[in-house]
Formats: sequence, C-alpha cells, structure tokens
Amino acid sequence: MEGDVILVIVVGTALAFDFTNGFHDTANVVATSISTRAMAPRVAVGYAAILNFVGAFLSLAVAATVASGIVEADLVTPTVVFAGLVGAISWNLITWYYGLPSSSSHALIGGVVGSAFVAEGADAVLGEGLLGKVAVPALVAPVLAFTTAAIAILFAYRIIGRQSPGTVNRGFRVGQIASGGMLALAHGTNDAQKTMGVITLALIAHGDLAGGSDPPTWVIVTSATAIALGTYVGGWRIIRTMGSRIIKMDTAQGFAAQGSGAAVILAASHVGFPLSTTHTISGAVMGAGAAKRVSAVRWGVAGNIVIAWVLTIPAAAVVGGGIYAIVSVFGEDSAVGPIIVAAIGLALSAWAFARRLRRGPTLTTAEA
Amino acid sequence: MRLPIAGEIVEWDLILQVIYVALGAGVAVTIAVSFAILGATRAADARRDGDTIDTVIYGALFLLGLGACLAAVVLGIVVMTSKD
Repeated sequence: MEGDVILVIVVGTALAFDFTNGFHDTANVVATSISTRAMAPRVAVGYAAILNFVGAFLSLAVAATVASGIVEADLVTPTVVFAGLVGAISWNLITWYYGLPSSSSHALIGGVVGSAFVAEGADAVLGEGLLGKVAVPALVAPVLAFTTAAIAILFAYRIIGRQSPGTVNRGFRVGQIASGGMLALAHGTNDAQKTMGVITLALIAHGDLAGGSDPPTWVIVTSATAIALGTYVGGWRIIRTMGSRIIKMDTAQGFAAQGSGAAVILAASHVGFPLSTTHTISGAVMGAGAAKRVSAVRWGVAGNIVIAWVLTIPAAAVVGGGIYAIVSVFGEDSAVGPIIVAAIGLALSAWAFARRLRRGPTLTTAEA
Repeated sequence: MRLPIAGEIVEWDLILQVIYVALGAGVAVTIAVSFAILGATRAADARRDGDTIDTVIYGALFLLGLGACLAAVVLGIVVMTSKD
C-alpha cells in the first residue's frame, strides 16, 4: 500500500517536472518565430504546444535510455526515483530563482544518478551509459547545432544575396512556420520522453513492468499532455514580456537556426540520446548569428552553457543524493518521507514562483 | 570503428550518425528553401518582364526547392516514427 502511495507521488512529481520543462522552454522554442514576425505570438505558442504534444508520440528511444541506460533498473526503488526527481526540481528551482544557467534534462539525469548512488552505491549507476549516452552527446549537440546553423546561413546568404529583402523575408517567414514546427516537434519528442523514461523506471522499480519495457500508453499520453500544457501556459508570460529581451535576427537566420536545432534534436532523439534542448537551440541561434557577424553573438551565453554543462549533472546528483538521505530516514518503503518532502517542496516552489514572477521571467535562449 | 580508450564506452558510430544526418539535413533544407525563394523571386520578375522561358525555369526551381524541403520534412518524420 505504501509502495503504491510512493508510486503515485513519483508519477505526480514527474508530470509536474514535465510541465515545468515545457513552461521553462517555451521561450526557446517560439522566440525566434516571434522575433522575426513569422508568427503572431498567440499563434506561435498554440502551435508549439500542439506540436510538443504530437512530438511526444514520435519515438521512445530516449525514454528507453532514461529508463534502463543510466541507472540499474533492478536496483532502483520508487523512493530512489522520487528523490532523484525532487533533486532535479530543486536544482532547477535554485538555478531559475538566481538566474543561473541550467538544463532540465541534465538535472533530471543527475538527480536520479545521485539518489541511486546514495541508495545502492556505485553499482546502481551505469557509468558507460552516463558517459556514452548523456555526457558526450551533451557536449557534441550544441557545437553541432552551432556549426550546422553557421554553414546553413552562409549558403542561404550566398543563394539569396541579391534578391529584394521584402520577398526574401516573406519567403523565409513562410519557411519558419515549418522550421518552427519541426523545432517544437523535436522539443516535444526529446523532453517528454525523459519524463516517460523516469515514470517507466518507477513502474519497473515498483514491479508493475518488466525491465526493458516500453512506457505504457497512459504514460506517453500524460507526459505529452503535461509538456504541451507547460508550453502553452509558459507562452503567455513570454507574450507579455515580448520586445524587451527577445532575440534580434533576420528571417533567414531564424530559419537556419530553427532548422538546424530541430535536425540535431530529432537525429539525437532517434538514436536515444537525451539532449539539453535549450543548449542545442542556443547553439544553433549563436551559429546563425556568428556566421553573419561574430560580434553579434553574446559570447557570455556560450560560457554559461559550458558552465551549466559542467555543473548541472554533479550538482543535481548531490541534491538528489541528499534528498534520498533525508527521505530514507523514514524508511526505504515508507510513504511518510516522500509525503513530507513533497509537501515541503510544493510550499517552497509556490513561494519561489511567487517571488520570481514578481521580478519578471528570465529568457534563457542565446541572443544573436 | 574503434577509437582508443573511450571507443567501447562512447557509441561513436551513433554520434557520427547524428553528426552527418543533422549537418546534412539542416544545411540541405536551408539550401532547398533558399533556392525556392530565389526561384519564386526570379520567376515573378521574369513574369513581369514577359520572359516566358525564365518564368518557367525559375518556376521549376521554386517547385524543386519546395518539393525537396517538404520531402526532407516528411522523410524526417517517417524515420523518427520507424523503429530500427
């Protein structure tokens, strides 16, 4: 019975994480389309939310990596998964509150790894999976997106160089409807699958699924819904703050950045690499900007991405491990620890959101 | 393929696959759309000047670029939804 309560809390926490992921990343997905006036803000946000939902159904490779490629599913319990999730959410909230660079994806993986390590020792962590499927792809993706967007925009300028700007802009704005849609689709498929993977891991740990199982349909549908709702709700904040911290780029750059970011995320999702979509999109935006004028890029953002890449997984692992140590004081199979931690977490989150919203949102995408 | 030390841990084949697919798709789609825009612009100019041959040639370039872009998007979705 207590195990069931813990599982319900884990599923609820995972879906809350998924919602905040969509909420947090809306700016990255729609900002380029809005800033080049390819789409009206309301249309862009609704379009992104719908395609986030659809994208979650495209593939299950990333979910499989998270569920069975990073920690030893047979050694993990629902309490471990819960502590990992709370660790990820806590680290996200800390970095969000102080405006520090972070990646929800890396925080999630770090949190689960940290709690599994504290619970079961080094045997519970699949170091090869962590390095091969998370760390190295996380380093490659932003660089690849940067390079792809830079090469793409150079070709675009070469081809359309002498044409009238009005016609070119209209053409690329139409193209951005497709590239923006692909980016939203890519974001939905990679990020929603991380939540599916975590819930699947909890279901395996609880004994409801066999190791190596795919996520059940209800997990796919709820994860898709949570990230789509988060994207939609998050978008209204972006609309209200448009014009202050938005990216300045031309339509060709917008198209190249969105197309390149989407290509990297979709290709990585297909082979099961859980990427930081924020870092990938930021890399593409910077590449499209740097190819036109190197000084146009805010290189501090690139530095922040490197810091976030180095820091987030270990820091979230420490927080996840610490949360597990606290929860396990009440007993590994007791629901008391998760209930108390979840209640405290909800109260702290509400307090942090209320304070931060009063100050205004933070846009995390690189500016070019 | 075998690279020293990290060769068996890091799936270099998959990473290389991601690199060439993403690089190829990202650049190719941008080139296709650029040619479509070029074709549309030049076709409109040629039609205004009454140049039928150029209108047809650039119109074809527009359709070719648009078709290549749509094909790439459809192919991408088909590949994503298919299991290896």
